[in-house]
Amino acid sequence: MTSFTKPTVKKNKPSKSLNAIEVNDLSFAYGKNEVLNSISLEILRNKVTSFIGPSGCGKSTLLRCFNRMNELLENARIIKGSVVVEGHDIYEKTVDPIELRKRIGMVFQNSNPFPKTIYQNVAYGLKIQGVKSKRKIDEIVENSLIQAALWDEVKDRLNANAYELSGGQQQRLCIARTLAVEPEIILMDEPCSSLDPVATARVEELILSLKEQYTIVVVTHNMQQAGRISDLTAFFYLGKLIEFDETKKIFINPKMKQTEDYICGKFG
Amino acid sequence: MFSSKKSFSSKRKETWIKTIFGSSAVTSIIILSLIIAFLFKEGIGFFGQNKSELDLFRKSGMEFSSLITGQHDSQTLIYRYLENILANESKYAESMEPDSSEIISAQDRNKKLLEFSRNFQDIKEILLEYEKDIVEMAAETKQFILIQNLIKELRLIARKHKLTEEDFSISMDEIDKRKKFSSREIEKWSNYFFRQGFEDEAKSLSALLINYDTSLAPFYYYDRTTEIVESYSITYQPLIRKQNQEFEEIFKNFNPKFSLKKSVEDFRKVKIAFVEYLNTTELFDKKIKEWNPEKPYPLADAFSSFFLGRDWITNSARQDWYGVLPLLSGSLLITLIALLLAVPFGLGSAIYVSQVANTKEKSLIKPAIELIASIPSILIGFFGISMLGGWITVFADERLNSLTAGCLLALMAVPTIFSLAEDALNNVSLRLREASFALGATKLQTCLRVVIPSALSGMISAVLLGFGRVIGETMVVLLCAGNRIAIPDFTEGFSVLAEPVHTMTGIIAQEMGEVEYESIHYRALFMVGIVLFLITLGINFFAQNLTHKIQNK
Ligand SMILES: Nc1ncnc2c1ncn2[C@@H]1O[C@H](COP(=O)(O)OP(=O)(O)O)[C@@H](O)[C@H]1O
Ligand SMILES: [Mg+2]
Repeated sequence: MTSFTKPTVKKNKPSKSLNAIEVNDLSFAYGKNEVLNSISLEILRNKVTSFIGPSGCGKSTLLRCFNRMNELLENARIIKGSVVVEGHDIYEKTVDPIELRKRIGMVFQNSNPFPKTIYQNVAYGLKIQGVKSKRKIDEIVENSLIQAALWDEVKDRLNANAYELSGGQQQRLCIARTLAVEPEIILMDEPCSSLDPVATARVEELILSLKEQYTIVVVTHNMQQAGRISDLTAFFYLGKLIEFDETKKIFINPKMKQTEDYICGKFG
Repeated sequence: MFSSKKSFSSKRKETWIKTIFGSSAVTSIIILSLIIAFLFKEGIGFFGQNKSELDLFRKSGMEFSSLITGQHDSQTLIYRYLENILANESKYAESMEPDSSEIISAQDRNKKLLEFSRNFQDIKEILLEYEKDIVEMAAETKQFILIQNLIKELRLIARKHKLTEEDFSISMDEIDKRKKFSSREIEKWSNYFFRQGFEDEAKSLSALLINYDTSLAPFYYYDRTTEIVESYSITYQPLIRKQNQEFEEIFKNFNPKFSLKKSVEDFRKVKIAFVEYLNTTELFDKKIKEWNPEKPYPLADAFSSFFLGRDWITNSARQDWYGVLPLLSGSLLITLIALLLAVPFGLGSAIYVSQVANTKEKSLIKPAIELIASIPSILIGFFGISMLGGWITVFADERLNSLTAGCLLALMAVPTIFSLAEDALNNVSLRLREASFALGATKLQTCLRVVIPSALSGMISAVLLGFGRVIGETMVVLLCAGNRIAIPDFTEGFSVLAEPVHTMTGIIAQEMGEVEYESIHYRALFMVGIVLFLITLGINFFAQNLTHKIQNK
């Protein structure tokens, strides 16, 4: 397993823990606005974990803490706590966010393919890593598209502009693009929110099939979706982690009143 | 009830908004077409006037005289080269010991060249006299034709207004055939028009009398033009032949040894110039032989002498030329220099500000660049004359040249390019950049591979609008371009970048105030304006198309 820490520092003790990500007492703020408040949780390897909660409760923010996307915003800052991925605190100075992001892929709420061809979209991550061999790239592009269940639909028009695809296809293309970099963890921020039910079903199927190889964290608005695809579910409310457990338990027998209210649709 | 009322009023609001925006769009279209119509109305007459000027140029014999002058000039050029070599050589000899053997033998060798150059000067003098005669003759003839034309015009006016013929009975045919108009006659006609109440016409006739005092010289127009051609074959051609033979002898058989390396090189250049000259003499002979004062110019020449004309010569004693090429090439050269400087700087800072800079840097750089746009161009011109010109003399002979103007225009184009390019870059959605970062791209990779390609057409149109800004700028080029009307010598390599040039905008600003209303010069300036307008219109159109393309993407 490659390390995302800068090569100069050698504190690479292989971690045997089951946890892909550990969040310890994390508080996070945009400027003065504290949006995450003392969050602690573990993301298990090769499981699908859902984040649910009313909009604005900080799900996306937490997700973006996992691959340090938040630091692209000038006013974002961590108040306290740590995020540990594969045994490394990713907010340590020795960690290179570029390497980190190669290992933790992300799929966004609205599909955002590049204004390039389908092929170029999938090959992008490889190209920036300096992969030159055309054969290798071709192979990975094909595999990624197959994995993303898009290959059959696009194999004859790899050089068409990505914007010619339908919304659902575009989102699967974005997933393929992420897979091509061969990450270990995939973060998905409401990947189906702008898709129709048929396209949603296809993406859900895809997520389930990817579980074998990847650790997946999905933010979702849709309770049924969380129930269908995830092994574990975390419920957030106003920047706090209210409840985190196996999905079945959360849905059938929630411990907290707020969770129950949310699941029953009393607010949100 | 309530809702229908609401929709009624909102409908009215809508129509109001439509009318306001619609009418302002219509107004701008109307103004634009008025400007175009006006420009063309004033400018298009140029070609008709140019054609009659050209015809006059030919008919009067001016064309003939300028053919000869041209030929003479190229001879003189070769002669000057030779003189120059001899002068350099003798200067060198003076610096040496007077009786050193090297010098003596060198002087011996150069003797033949010296002798030739002296002979040549004698012949040149004769030719010069001859040329003068011809020019004078042509000038008189031209004047005569103008008078002839004026009288013909008056004849038409008289006929149109059905004036009685009493004192002005000369017929059209007779005017054409006449070789002389006496001052008595002209005075008589002037009085006649005055009595008829045509004061302007009377004045234009009496103006002739003031210019030509009491009597007009007799003009033997037709005889004279034939005389011109004949005199060429009798006097000039033998001389020119003889001279060319002498030249040929010297250049083909004589290989002087010079003391100076420079002279050897110069002599080689003279040789090349001479071969070129010999090649043109044949064409020249043919032109002279075919020259026919009665043959009118083809209409196409009225156009090509403007669009392809290499000379812009006004208020000349002989013939004015209105060729747009020197001005166009000057404008384009300056624009090229300005863009070469402004594009990297403007785009570079746009990329930096939109992709790399933090808020603090942004708040510093952006207003600074935008502030440049607020400097009045005349002040930028001052700066060019007083400071930049001095720095430029490090590379160039003159303070004011295309490089000076180009640098200043670059300064003025940077804010335009910067602002538009920055907009285009900022319009690339954050989502695309995030997608790239999430795949492990660095800022630089994201910028080069995602942001710039997505903003490319916007950036190109920023450059095109910068082009429009530069080529239309007047004050700075008028002050700092050096204002020499000549096509830049592109064979000179990089030093072409620092030649004094004149520009389309500069010439209009400089000459428009002094030209006579509706004269050919006035119209020529309008034509230059039209060329400028078409260029900027084309560029803007192109830029808009590009912007449109990205918006549709
Ligand atoms: N870039 C930002 N700058 C400032 N505040 C932000 C920013 N992004 C999100 N927020 C705020 O942080 C809170 C959590 O947002 P987010 O994590 O997007 O919630 P969720 O994804 O659960 O809907 C919200 O109140 C939102 O207004
Ligand atoms: Mg969100």
